[in-house]
Amino acid sequence: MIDRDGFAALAEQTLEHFFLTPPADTEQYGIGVTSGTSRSKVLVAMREYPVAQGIFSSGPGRMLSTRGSLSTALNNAVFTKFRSRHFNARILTLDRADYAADIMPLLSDFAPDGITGYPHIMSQLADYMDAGTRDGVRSAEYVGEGLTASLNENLRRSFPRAKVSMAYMASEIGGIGRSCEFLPENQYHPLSGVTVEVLEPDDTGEGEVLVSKTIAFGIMVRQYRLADIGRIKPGTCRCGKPVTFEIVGRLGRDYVRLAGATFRRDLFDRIATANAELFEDYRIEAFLENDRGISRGKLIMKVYKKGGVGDASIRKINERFLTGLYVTPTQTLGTLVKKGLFSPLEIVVVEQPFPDETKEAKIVQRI
Amino acid sequence: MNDAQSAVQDLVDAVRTSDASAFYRDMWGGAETFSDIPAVSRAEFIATPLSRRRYKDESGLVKVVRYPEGVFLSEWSFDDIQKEQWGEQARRPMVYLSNSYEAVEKSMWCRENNMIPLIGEKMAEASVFTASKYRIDALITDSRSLEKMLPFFTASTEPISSITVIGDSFNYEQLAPYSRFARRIRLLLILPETGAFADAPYSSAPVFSPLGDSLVEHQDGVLVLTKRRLLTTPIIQYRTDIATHPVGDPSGGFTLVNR
Ligand SMILES: [Zn+2]
Repeated sequence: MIDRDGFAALAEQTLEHFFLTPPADTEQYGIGVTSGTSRSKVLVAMREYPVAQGIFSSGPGRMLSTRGSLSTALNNAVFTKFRSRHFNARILTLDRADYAADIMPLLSDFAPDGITGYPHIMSQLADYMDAGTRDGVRSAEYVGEGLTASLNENLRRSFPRAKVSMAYMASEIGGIGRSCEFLPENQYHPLSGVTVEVLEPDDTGEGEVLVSKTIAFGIMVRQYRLADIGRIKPGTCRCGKPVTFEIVGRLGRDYVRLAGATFRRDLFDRIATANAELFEDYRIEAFLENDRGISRGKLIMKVYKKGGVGDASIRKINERFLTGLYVTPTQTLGTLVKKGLFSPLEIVVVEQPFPDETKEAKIVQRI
Repeated sequence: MNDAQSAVQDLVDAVRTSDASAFYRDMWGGAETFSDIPAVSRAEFIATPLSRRRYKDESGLVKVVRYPEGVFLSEWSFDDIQKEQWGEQARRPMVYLSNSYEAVEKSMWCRENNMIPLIGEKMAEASVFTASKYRIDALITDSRSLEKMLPFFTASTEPISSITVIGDSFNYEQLAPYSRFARRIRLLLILPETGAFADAPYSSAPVFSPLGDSLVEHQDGVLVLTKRRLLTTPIIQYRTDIATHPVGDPSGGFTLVNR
């Protein structure tokens, strides 16, 4: 099993191999770069594109893509080139700076029949496409993050005629899985040559996802910990693929595991939506606190509503989450508080709306 | 018509009789010879949707081109990208440009010419780090991004083989300190909608020479450009806002005039 540090060593190996024996034909190789965070350094690795796998033999002719990093934008262009062996393929990878009113007629002129990219950015981009342009989109491939129920609903409204598929990848190792026409959102079949396992699954089958695949030049990454949480679905898919896995969240983001409980963002979202009259938005911090030698889980929930949240509302919010939030298959948060495994939920009212950039990380695990 | 103009007459004929688009034909009126056709400008590109300026149906990239006066789409086929003269052959080139469309397109140029490019991200620190990890031996960049690479160069023991600085204007003094970091620094005149059309080795007073695929003319103090190849959106008598001064040598050299 290897973590990010272990992967860094393999990344070096791929570079060394490339420096010593550069391939004569470069077409099937590229460079994978991860965006570094404050805690981890940027990683650079050579990578091999799955050109031979036939996944580029079909697809839209005019693709509109959102842009993540520039390396992913370049990958989009490379994939378009691979598609161009089979049919005429064009791509427009729209820069964030061009999300402006004057882009609407240009997108209508480009008339994309396919879209790809991060679903939450795509739902923002939809605001810059007129109804006719959105109706012309026949295929949507979402990548880079899971599709929450509300996002899925929004996107289906924005692109009513698009057949939805999803791809699962990591910037440092490339493609991992793809959905098929029979799979629901967030479920994938491993790409050929890729093995997906789940580490220490809990009683619902969920656990950390481990990925094994060849990166480049025969150098393999084995049981790489991606910090995603998923489960293996039993049975053979109707398409004939024997292995299906589901991604349920990102460790410490959509999904926090703490003191034997699992906090899933979509469950919080569901209760929040049902109680929209009490509060408009929320953020959760989850952590272990030490109470005279006994460690207990603790949640601090910050809530915001224009005009404030009164004491009566705070009591209601508290009650709805204690009784409505299931944190194991059979137990609510309230049950675990009664058992002493968790401290009572602490609700803090904030006076300013939450900054936009924290929208994708509503649940954060603090160490 | 001089020889250079006659050479582009085939292009003019192809465009004039094209079934794919009437963009140029409508603008030219009845004019049939290169010397008679009027210049086109960015304003016409802005006013005409890409779908009505497209002269061929080939796979490629579509870019958003944004100027203060307006925004339009520019489409480049992979074949045309391959033939552009954007950089120099290298083993490990890096493309580091502030415009994302240009960065992806120039990276595809590397790939189409059998190179594996490293593409620099917005964050300077990360780009400096990845450049040293990849041991880059060539850099395609713009003046702004080149400055961000200074920590890479000061930490390098050896100069890289080439730096290509692209743009439609250059600050020669600002580039001076970089001449010791590469064996060659090449200044490449380029517009997103036209591709490259002239270059010069770096010096304190560079004289630019038109590239082989470009017919460069100077009218009323500005550069008027024709690209000899039939591009997806052809460039014929394209009036730029680049102020030039021809030096009068036989190769068509010119200098840039600061305005
Ligand atoms: Zn299937």
